[in-house]
Amino acid sequence: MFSTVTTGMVCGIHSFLVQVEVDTAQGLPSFQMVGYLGSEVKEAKERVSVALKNAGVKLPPLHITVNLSPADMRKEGTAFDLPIAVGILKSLGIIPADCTENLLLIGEMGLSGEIKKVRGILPIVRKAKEEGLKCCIVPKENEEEAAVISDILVVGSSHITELLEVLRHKENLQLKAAKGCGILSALAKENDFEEDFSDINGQEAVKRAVEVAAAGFHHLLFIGPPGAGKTMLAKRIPTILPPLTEEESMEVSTIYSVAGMLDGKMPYIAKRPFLNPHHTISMQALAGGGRIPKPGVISLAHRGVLFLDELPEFPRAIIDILRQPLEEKQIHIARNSGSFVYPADCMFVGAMNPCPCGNYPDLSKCSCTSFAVQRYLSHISGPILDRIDICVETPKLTYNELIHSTGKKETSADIRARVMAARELQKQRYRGTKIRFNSDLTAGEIRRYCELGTKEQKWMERIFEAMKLSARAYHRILKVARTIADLEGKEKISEMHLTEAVCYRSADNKYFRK
Amino acid sequence: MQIINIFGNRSLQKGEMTLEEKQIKEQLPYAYWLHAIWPLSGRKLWMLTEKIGMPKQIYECETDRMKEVLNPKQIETLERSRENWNVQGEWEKLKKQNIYFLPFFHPFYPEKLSNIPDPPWALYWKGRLLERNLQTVAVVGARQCSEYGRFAAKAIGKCMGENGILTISGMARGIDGISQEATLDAGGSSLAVLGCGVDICYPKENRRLYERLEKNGGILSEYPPGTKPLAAYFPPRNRIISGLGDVLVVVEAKEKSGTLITVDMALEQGKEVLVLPGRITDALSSGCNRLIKQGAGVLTSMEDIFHLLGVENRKTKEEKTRKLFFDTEEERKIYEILDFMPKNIEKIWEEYGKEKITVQQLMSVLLKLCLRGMVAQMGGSYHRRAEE
Repeated sequence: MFSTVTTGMVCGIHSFLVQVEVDTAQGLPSFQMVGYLGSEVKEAKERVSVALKNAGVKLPPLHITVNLSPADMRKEGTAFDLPIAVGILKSLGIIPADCTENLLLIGEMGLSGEIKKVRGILPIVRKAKEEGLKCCIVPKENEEEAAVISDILVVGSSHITELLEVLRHKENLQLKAAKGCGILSALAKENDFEEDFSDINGQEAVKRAVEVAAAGFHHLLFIGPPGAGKTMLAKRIPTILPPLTEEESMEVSTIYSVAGMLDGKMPYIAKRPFLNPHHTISMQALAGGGRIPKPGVISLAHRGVLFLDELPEFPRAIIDILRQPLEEKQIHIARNSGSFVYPADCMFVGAMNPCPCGNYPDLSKCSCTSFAVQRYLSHISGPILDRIDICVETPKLTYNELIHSTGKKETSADIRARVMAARELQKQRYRGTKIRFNSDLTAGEIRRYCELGTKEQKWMERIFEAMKLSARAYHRILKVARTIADLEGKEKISEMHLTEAVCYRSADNKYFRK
Repeated sequence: MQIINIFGNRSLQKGEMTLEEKQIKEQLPYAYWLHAIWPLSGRKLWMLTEKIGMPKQIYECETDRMKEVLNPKQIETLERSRENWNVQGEWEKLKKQNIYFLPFFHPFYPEKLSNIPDPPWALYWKGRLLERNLQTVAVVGARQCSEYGRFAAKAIGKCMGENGILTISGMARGIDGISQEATLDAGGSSLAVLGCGVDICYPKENRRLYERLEKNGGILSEYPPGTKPLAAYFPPRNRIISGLGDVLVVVEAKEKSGTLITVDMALEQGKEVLVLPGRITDALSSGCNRLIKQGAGVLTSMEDIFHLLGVENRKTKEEKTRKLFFDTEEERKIYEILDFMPKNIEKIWEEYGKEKITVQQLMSVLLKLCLRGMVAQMGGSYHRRAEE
């Protein structure tokens, strides 16, 4: 008898539904599986037949054929065990033929018949919902992760016998379904951070620069002596970025799900990710790697912050990997198993000392030769510096500044409110275009969206000549000035906005003149 | 190429050659041979000369006669070089490189150097030979100088250049190069004394200065062409810098600085030393201030240099204070907070009073001052007073 069961698979971060077709027929007893299978999938044959035996189902000596359709896509992983087992049971008539209608099954099986967790559940359940399925049966351990998707029943199951009970009494499905908290309420709940901007004393000017960077999603570079609070500042950037929207959270969670980093404790990602890899990180770990590539750090930081501390310590080749993803906001990884695209739309934040000893430009303390300083800087390639719109020097704090807080102390919530207002403006301005933030603007778009008045143009001309700016630096200043104006809610860029932007201009060669 | 006597005693006219000069010409290739095989042991060369005589005699003399001065190993080197060294051929090669070789008996050998303890046995010279009896000022200082030092070195170099006073320095990074560059910019001449062969430009980034010096001054060294810049060669060259200068000006020096070696040499040679004072908090001025404490002259204006040289400042008018224009009281106050040492905007803000101004307004004031050339920006956040 012929039967089909629906399951799903992920390829990159994209998910597809897969039909498991099972046919049992009279003939020489055999168990054959086809459909472009990877070796884990081929092994499913043994796992399934032993698991079924241990669950009390004896396979009769029949000619069993299993096909995973579409048969032209390579199947990887162990998530096909459960649908194959259920497909065989259905084909043998052990469970009713209509019990898997509008139902998706997924899970790995142990020899005892237990159902084990798999990765990539979230995008698959989401796909099932989009395709109009009504219910998903997933491993118990993946239940909470799957339950994040609303409007679809999710039932967790830990053993095949338990599952057979469920399938025989389909009317009870509703009762067994896991109660997902729904991602929106989860987002609201999870947005309080341990860190807060009010933890940082002083550094008002730097905080302001961070605020501007967050508002326009500009990449940011801190330059400052050790102990100036660069890392502290960077860690607090997610707290002033707008909370993840439902869609964003889903995107991020999907990446984490594919990477196998979601579990019962953390079934979804509700906070903006903050990743700070150590400088010994490998290329594969940063970009994504493996025979079937898993998302790398740069993708895990999607919609969040990728912080590289001690930037010049990173090998040049590693930093250069970032060039293309920072531009395209996604990363292409080609392996012989296929070509994968992972999203990588992160805010890049770097931190570095101004020179090897860290004290430049305080010449009474700095003992580095200008040659040493040059060499230190040359670790970061020009193309990366070109992508960094805002560069800010953090001064070393004196004891007084460290202990006594001066000035107003703003909490992250205050700053976030301003950042969100500025982003709302950008959203409205760029409605109907591909641009999302001011940092996305290209040279042509800058001319259109960052128009200057005659007075401002004159001012900019003076600055351009006095500071000997390059064309690139000029464009960066305009983009940042646009964001500063947005923070103030102004449509027109004023002299003041340009002035501030000039002070954030990126580190160029002139900075390191001794 | 027309040759003008540099510091010299006699002037040479083309075609007129006295008997004595003929002899000198004959000696030169041998002197080059002798100097090139032992460039570093100046003392040995002086002893040989004293014992045996002029280079040609040394070349021709019996080995036995050298035994008093040289050890067997040195004699062996000398013997071998006599066979390998093509005296006339090598001499022609040197001449082709446009390098002048000035041994101690050469008429162009600077008189000033013959009076110092441990004078170099021979010198190499590249560039234009300068008119004689030029007054000279040696300017030395830190390689990693502050803006204050940069400013002072520029001012001194410029003033000397305008008054036709030759500046002498080491063409190093920092004070040396800055003062020489300023002299050339002002239309003057300058002379660099190197710790390597005169055909090598060290440091490399001063290539432009090196080329300018070739045209408007000279490059001097006691090491044969091709000698690599080794650390050990630099302290001895300092005695030439101080020896050639009538006055030694120290611009910036840390507590432990190579510059102080030059000062010691100058004192040994009986030269006047003028030191630029600095604040007690600046590490780069600590060496200078200590020298003042020990009794060195204090440089407070360019007139101090002219006074020591016994000339009048003809060209440069002393700028007492720079004319500063402030549109607002705010600008003036902020300018007063600034310094020649770069200050972070956070510091400036703090000192001005965070409640009195927003950081955006502060940036705007600073940028306006920058555009007027009164303030310079380093990176985005660091500001300092501009030197001119």
